[in-house]
This record gives sequence, C-alpha cells and structure tokens, in this order.
Amino acid sequence: MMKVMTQKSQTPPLPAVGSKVRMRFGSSDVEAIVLEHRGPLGVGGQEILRVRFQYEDANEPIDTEVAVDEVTPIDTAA
Amino acid sequence: MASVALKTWRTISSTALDEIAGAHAAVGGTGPGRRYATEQINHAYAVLVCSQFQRFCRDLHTESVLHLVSTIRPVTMRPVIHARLLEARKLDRGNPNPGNLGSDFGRLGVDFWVRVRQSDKRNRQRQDQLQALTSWRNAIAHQDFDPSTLDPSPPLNLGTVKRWRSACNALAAQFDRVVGQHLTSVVGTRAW
Repeated sequence: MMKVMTQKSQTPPLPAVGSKVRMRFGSSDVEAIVLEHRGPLGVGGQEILRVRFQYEDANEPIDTEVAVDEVTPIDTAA
Repeated sequence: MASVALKTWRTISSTALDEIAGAHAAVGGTGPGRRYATEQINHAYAVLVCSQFQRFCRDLHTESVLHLVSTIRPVTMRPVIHARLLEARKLDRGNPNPGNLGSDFGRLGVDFWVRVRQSDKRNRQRQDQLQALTSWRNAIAHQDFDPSTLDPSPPLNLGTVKRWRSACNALAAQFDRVVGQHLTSVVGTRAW
C-alpha cells in the first residue's frame, strides 16, 4: 500500500479564543488564556494572539501579545 | 511598502465605512422622518470611523512593538519587554484621541505628534479634526450632546463626517510613514 505524504502547514492553527496555551516569559513557562486573534501583524506576517496570564505573585494579570508559533495549546480534554 | 495596519485600513476598514455611507444614501424621501434617520446614520458613521481608526492605530502600534522587540538580545527577554511596552496601552480601551496616541507611540521613543506635524503642515489641522471626532464619538456613545464642548455644534451632518474620514485617511498614511522611519532609524532595518 502506498503511503500518502501529508504536508504540514507552515503556520500552526490558531488556538481558539478562550483556550489555554503555554508560553515562555523570561525564565518561566506560564499558562495564558487567548483573548483575541490580532491578525498577521508579526514580523514576516506572523499571526499574533492577545493573551492574559497571571505571573507568580503579581497583583494584576498581564495582558500581552505573542506570535502563534511561540505558544503551545494546552489540551484540556483529558 | 506599507504596514499591515495601513493595508487593512485601506481595504477592510474602507469597505466597512463605504457600507455605512451607502446606507446614508439609501435613506430616501423628503419627509420629516428622513432628517432624523440620516442624523442617526451620521452618528453611526462617525462612531464607525472612530472605531476603525482606533483599530488601525492599535494594529500599527502592535506591529511597531513586534518589530522593535524582534531585535532585542537576549531573546528570552523579548516577551518581558514586549509586555512592558503594551502594559496599560491606551488604545486597548480608549479612543484614538491625540493624547492617547502620543502616550502609546511615545513609549517607542518617538515624539509622536511633533514628528507627525513636521511631516506635513496640514497635520496640525488633521490632529484638531481627530480631536473633534473623538469628542463627538463620546457624545454619541453617552448620548450627551453638550454644544459647548462639541465642534461643530449639533446636529452632525454628513459633510463633517466625510471630512473626519478624510483626515483619518491622511493621518493613517502619515502615521505609517513617521513610525516606519522611526523604527528604521532605531533598529537599522526597514519595518515595512
């Protein structure tokens, strides 16, 4: 049987708004919630996400923007 | 070349604004009800011009921060500095009024309005028109029409909204150029 090669997309799929992702922040890994798809505003047209996370003992959550290929979706189905 | 923000303003935003302009033209008749209906459409049109321009400015700011941060070493500090540049950004919640724009773009190390006014002497008048638009946008959103604070005084007519849109169009191109030149001078590579 012949194997069918599937070509991987260069751009990772966008995590849904409201879903959780993991990302690097300085020397830490943090869990963030996707707030908004900002569009292809990154260098070279990278898709950008607006995310929110709570950083250690900070009083307020941090809102920031990050390229989609710098986050890893967290599977919450398990 | 233009920023993605400017391309979006000139395509998606322009189409959306053309649709509301078309709605104004579609309100026919000469009866007394028409004047009320067109005034409401003028209000909607002004709010949409303001909100689409806010989107443009916010997108331009994001693109600029991403370009600036992409050169920072060590790489691990990029998201930290990135977050600081976006922290409490006025354009995430507030109008694109001249004060908010100066505050947000000033974080990138550019004396924003000074540079914009130097770029074209007509930009001072456009800056005043942007201030008038955002004041009217707030009045419409809160249904609080104080003639002493609004320029022009109520009622709002179509010609005024068209002039504001035209001013935003010109300012969008000017912001794109001024911020792009600033980034190129700081980073050393063209942003767009």
